[in-house]
Amino acid sequence: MKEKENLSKRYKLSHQIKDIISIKHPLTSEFLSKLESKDLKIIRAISLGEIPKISRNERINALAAIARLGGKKEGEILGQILSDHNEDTDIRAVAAVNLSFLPTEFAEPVLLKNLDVDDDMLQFKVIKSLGRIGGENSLRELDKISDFKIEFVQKQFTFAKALISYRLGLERDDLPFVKGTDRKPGKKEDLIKLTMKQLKSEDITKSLDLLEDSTFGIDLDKNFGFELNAGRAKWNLLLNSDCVKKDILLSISEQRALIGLLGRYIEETGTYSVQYVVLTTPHNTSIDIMVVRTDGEVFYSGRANIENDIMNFSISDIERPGTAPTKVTGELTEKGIKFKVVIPYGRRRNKRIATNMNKDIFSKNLR
Amino acid sequence: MSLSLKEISDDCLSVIKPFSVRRDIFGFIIGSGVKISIKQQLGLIEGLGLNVNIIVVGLENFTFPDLRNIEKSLQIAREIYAKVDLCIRKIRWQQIPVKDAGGFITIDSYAESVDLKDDWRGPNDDFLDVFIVRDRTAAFCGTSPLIGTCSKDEKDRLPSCLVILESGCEGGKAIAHEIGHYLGGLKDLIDKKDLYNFMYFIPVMKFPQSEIYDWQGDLMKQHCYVKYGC
Repeated sequence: MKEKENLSKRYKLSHQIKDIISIKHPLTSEFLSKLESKDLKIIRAISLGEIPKISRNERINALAAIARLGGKKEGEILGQILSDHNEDTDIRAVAAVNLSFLPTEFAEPVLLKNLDVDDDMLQFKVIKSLGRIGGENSLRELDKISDFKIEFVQKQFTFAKALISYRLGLERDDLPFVKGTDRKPGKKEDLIKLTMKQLKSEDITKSLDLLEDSTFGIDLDKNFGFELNAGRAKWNLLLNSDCVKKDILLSISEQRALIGLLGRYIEETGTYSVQYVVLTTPHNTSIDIMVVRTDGEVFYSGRANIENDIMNFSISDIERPGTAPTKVTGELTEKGIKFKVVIPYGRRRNKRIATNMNKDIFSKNLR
Repeated sequence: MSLSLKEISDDCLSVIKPFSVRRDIFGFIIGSGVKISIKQQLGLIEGLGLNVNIIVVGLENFTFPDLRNIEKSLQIAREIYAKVDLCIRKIRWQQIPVKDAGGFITIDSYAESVDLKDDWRGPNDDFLDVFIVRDRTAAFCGTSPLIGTCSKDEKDRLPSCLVILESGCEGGKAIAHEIGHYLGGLKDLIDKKDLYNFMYFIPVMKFPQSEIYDWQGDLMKQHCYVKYGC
């Protein structure tokens, strides 16, 4: 305790650190690069809970900064917290999630070491992160476990294995193809505007820096990407650099791929958060496309055919509670993307409705 | 002017008798441990105000003190808005059980909060939905669009607020703050000297951030969810 108090006196928080721990500034690489070595030392100490009078919230924010710094030393800090059985489970979960921001070599070993934790929620986070950064070692270890008693943990487990397999281009861990609904055009007033345009390199670089999430273990291309607008909502489609460099059409026709991420624009912060991943599977004459939410729920799907360096595709929404009926057909070439049919309805259908709560309900269920 | 509990509850709140002041006038489900002013609430009910659905995500993970904290937070929001004669009138409580909420019981990213709002809604069209999640690993304490819609089903706009209850987030301020965003209480116009303003939100600020400008109240009163009570 005395040591902690001494630390507190020794560490004077700079404005940049105060901005970090109070979420007053997006954690861009430019912003983080301005941190001096003494600031980094303090951020690490805050993350490890070594400085008194730092709130839990401030510590969570410091851990987010540590994750975005993304080096070996940071990986060790997050690993130390995740592996510390004396630490709060909630903070260990924060460390587990933040490890998905780090390169595989720094994050995978410690996540695997904690794969068999007793706490279901913590195990859920470890599995989630492994799906995002894990390699073949992760698949080997995940193959040894199965049958989770909680449904959403089981779903995340299945999705995590699929993510790794798609990322590595392996023919295993199928994510079952769910067929989209064939939507018909409706009244003009029921539809919203849906457009897609190619992004300039500088806009891609900027959005990569403003991406608040893990890149799901892929390098995102800095030169080729798209902006998708649906009414007032905006996403950036950021593409797998390995596929782009090789030739995107060739890549997806040869093997399964995690082809890209759709980062949702957040108007409150001006940053992006990954809402969907795009997975492709080649068949003899066509390619399956699935747009999957980060919890493993398939949201949109379709098929594509490639002929003479032109990919013709058709994608539509999956019928589910809360879907917004959508169908898009078009073509992708090296010059860009062109829509042919666009049917984007502006309203969601059959959202799930929360149930009324009364004393009888919660007196039975509450902890 | 005298305020009649009976008349106001009959005319403005459609209360079915026998009624409870804490439940029917204040919309509390537990109701104990929250300091209330009946006179202030009755004085505001007839004027401009909004109705709120509180949607508890993963109810089984909540404790009684958690629910009490939500009620305290709602009362803090009420007191802030009362300064500009804006009322939180009716509160309805809904829940999503853990088995249906799935991974949404802990929010890891902004996109997950969007997914929750896209999947779920409260039953009442004219109530603003406020989702309450107990835990998070993400570095934020709440999410809300900057001026929200009054249609819960629009695809391209986020039709609700989300507030994290977990201790580091001081939910009291977060509910007032996120509803403030939704109604257009514009944070961007607050500069650094306004540390005490409810829209200048720092989760662990050691002093109350409960000030509100008249112009913020005027902006919020223009929102489509804000209506006269009766």
